[in-house]
Amino acid sequence: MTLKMLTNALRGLPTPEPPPTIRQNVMTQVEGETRARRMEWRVEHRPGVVWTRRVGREPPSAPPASTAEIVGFVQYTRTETKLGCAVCQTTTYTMGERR
Amino acid sequence: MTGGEITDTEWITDTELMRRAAQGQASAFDALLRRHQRVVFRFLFRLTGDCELAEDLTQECFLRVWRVRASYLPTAKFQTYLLAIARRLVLDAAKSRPPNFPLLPSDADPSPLPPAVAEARALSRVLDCELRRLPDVLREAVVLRDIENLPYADIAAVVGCPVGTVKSRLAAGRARLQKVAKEWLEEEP
Repeated sequence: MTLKMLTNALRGLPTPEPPPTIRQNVMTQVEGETRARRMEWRVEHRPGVVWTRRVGREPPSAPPASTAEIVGFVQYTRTETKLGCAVCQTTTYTMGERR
Repeated sequence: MTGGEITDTEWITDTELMRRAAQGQASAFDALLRRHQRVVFRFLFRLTGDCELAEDLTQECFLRVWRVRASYLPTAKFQTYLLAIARRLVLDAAKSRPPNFPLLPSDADPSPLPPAVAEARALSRVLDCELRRLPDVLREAVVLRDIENLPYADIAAVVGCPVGTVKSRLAAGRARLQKVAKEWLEEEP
């Protein structure tokens, strides 16, 4: 058997495709960690911030205006931080820095 | 901070995607996952001979990359970096679990095949079984070169040895496979 024949035979060996659960499981954990890190950032900055106003609609189960109970994504701008609600997936609160 | 979703990643390099992932952009990491999961899974399947274990280790491989993304330095190709991690995971798994060598589907195929196709499939089974019996260092060299078509330098980076050693391992692995194939072909009527 020549090397070319061997290589062709090896490349023709049946190999299963990676199941979609691999990507799903990995990304579930990746996104979970990302969310957790954002929450940590918010908690670290909790001193010195104050609720200024509420925007958007109330989430289905409206969290109280307490940073400890609001989870979800965070969006930064120069002067304010918007918190997204993990329940309704919309931006519901805006907070600015105390001056 | 949430970062824009990446929709077209075809022209973004692995290094750039890793840089974005290091900044917390999950969609960049997802793009890397989609791009490389197949080669990592195939490599792990060929090394372990176990589909479920290969699946678990593929997940673990990408999660490790995610955990250390901030310290990633693009000193080698990203694929090489990934395969080196995958290989270490196999070595760790082998310490606690003997490799499982399930045979390919049996000869008892109900549908008759043309003789040439049947012979090719039978030869594939012979080679697959022998590939699984090769010592780990020979098998990984054959898999990375003859199946995944990696350059010698990349294989050396994955397995952590000089190129010359890769070549000698590859030659030894190929010689064993060729010997078995030759014997099988001579036995065939």
